[in-house]
Amino acid sequence: MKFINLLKKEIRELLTLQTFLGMLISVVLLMGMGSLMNSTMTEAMISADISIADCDDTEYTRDILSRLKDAGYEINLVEINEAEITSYPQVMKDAGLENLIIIPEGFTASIESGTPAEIRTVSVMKSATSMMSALSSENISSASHDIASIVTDKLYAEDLSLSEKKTEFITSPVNVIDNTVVGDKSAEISIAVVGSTTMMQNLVIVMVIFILVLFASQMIITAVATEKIDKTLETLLSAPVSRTSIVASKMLAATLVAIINAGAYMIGFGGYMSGMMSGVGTPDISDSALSEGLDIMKAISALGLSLSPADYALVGIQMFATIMIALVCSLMLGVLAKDAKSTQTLLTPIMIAIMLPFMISLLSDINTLPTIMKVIVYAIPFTHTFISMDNIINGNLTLYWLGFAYQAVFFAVCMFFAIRLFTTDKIFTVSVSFGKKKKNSTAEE
Amino acid sequence: MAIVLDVKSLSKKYPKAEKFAAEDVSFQIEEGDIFALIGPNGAGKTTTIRMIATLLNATSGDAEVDGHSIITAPDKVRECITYLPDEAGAYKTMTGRKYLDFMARLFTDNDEIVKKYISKAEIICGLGDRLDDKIGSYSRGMIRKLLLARSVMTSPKLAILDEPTSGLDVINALEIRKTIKSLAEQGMSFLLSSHNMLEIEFVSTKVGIITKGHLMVVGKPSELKEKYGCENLEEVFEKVVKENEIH
Repeated sequence: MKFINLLKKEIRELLTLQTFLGMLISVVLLMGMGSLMNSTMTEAMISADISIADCDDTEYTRDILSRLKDAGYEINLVEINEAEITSYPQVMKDAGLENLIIIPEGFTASIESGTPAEIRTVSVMKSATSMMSALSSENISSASHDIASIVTDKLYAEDLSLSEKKTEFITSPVNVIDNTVVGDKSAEISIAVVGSTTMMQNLVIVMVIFILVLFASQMIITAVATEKIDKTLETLLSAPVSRTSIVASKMLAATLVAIINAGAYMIGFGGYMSGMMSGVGTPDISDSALSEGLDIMKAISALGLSLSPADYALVGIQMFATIMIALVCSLMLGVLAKDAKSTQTLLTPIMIAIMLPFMISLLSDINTLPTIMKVIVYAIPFTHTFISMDNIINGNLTLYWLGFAYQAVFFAVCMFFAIRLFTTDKIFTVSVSFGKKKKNSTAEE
Repeated sequence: MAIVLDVKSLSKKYPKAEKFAAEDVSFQIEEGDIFALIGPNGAGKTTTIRMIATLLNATSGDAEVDGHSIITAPDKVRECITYLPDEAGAYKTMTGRKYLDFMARLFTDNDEIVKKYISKAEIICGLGDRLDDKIGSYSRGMIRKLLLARSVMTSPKLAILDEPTSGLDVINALEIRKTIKSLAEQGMSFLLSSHNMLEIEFVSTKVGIITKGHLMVVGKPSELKEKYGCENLEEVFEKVVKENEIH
């Protein structure tokens, strides 16, 4: 019975409103992520409709397309004059396509003459960090390989007297040449290879931003809450020192620590990258991707996906803006703390505001979200930092600077309220207490 | 004697509160006075003290510290006062000496004056070599002594001490009371709040009994005892509080 008594007490201690709120938020977040994944998958499925330009247009190629349809592919036939193709980015932009398989003129003739024919695939990469590119690349890759299989099947059916040379041709009658388009650049490389390499490279930056913002927020919320709970804040505020200096010194100190922390992460990231890249240069990752002797890093560079120092500086500027916003919001939230326990709960709004754009930037392309969701996500100032790399890579500098301007305004507004909070007595009269009925608690006596 | 603090009809009503936390509170503190504000929990002591310490904005009324209004010149007031909150802590990662140095530099940029302040605080707190240890390793009594020394090292016109000996053992409390008394004899003025009537009787030169936000009586402890026909301040306090409950 004594044990039960103890157990009850422990459960009561642990199962507070804060714990419940945490659970609720997790459920809502996970459900939100679920629906987001659903829309991402739908988007991926839509983009999985295969666009094919049958430039050969023979009985043979029409039969291949018909068999592809029978295999379950949604085929969108595109009219393209092969001779007029000057650049893949232009073709894709003009036709509004995200993927394309080009069956070139002479495909049938080549097969019939017993020499391997070529087909070309073109995929547009929309995000350098999202899993979308990996998802959408799946279909075009399997479709191009299925075309090769169909040709093999047809060849087997046509000629069963196989010589060794013929067997070699029949088993691989089609060479697939993959092309990836990023913005107005293209390179002869598979989108799957580009996607996985850039994701590895850029994901770390996104994760660094995520960790830094969380770290900085937690640091300042705890610092302010501790000052308030220990009443050292009262001592400071009654001293002959301007309130603005108190706010500014707290912000600056936290920023400096966050920058040092960012530096440490970046050094770690540098080590990670050099380790990763030393293994990338070796061929054998994908023969088709490395066709015509283009190695992955060269292709990524040609696509403009490798960030220059100036690009990193731009990402850094938005990262700094995000940290400053997180700090000033956390500073205000820290003031609301009434006890050490509530500081963790006060971090929740910041965590949600970081988690949402972080997860979305990983899972999806924000522009594919429903309008309301898009507005909400863009209204979160941290979003602009998470998508800054995509904006820079895709050359959307207007969007980048608009995002930065929004962050600057957001920061200025928050800073105004933070200084106001410290210069009025609201710092002592406003508090949030969880698990108690009293909502607005004031000075005790 | 010069008036150091002149509180004039000071009132405070918190947002969404139905009643005033402190209403029409008026009293004066002269140079060398130890004015004790006493009252039950929730009587309005801390609210009044926090208004004078420029931490809370007054709803109406005013208070002048050394001629500076808390409403129109709070920055000037902060130069004349120091405030020791009830159950206050200090920065645990700092050593006692570093803390004194940090606090002294909020009052002056002059290194010589800072040194003077620290030496004074060293004598007052009596912590000796322990001043070089981290505050995190201090006992409650040691922290309170350090904070009291911090509060008086700059020789403020008015030192505001909220429950200066709360939670301390008899010896530590006695030392702090003696320190306050001796500093007042040197001309420093104190505004303090306390629940401990014995302490008030021992240390204060003037007492104000506050209950339900109203300052009911102000006077010297001996005058109040005589006025209410009581043997000690505790009985005076009980009478005043009960009278207020009846009316």
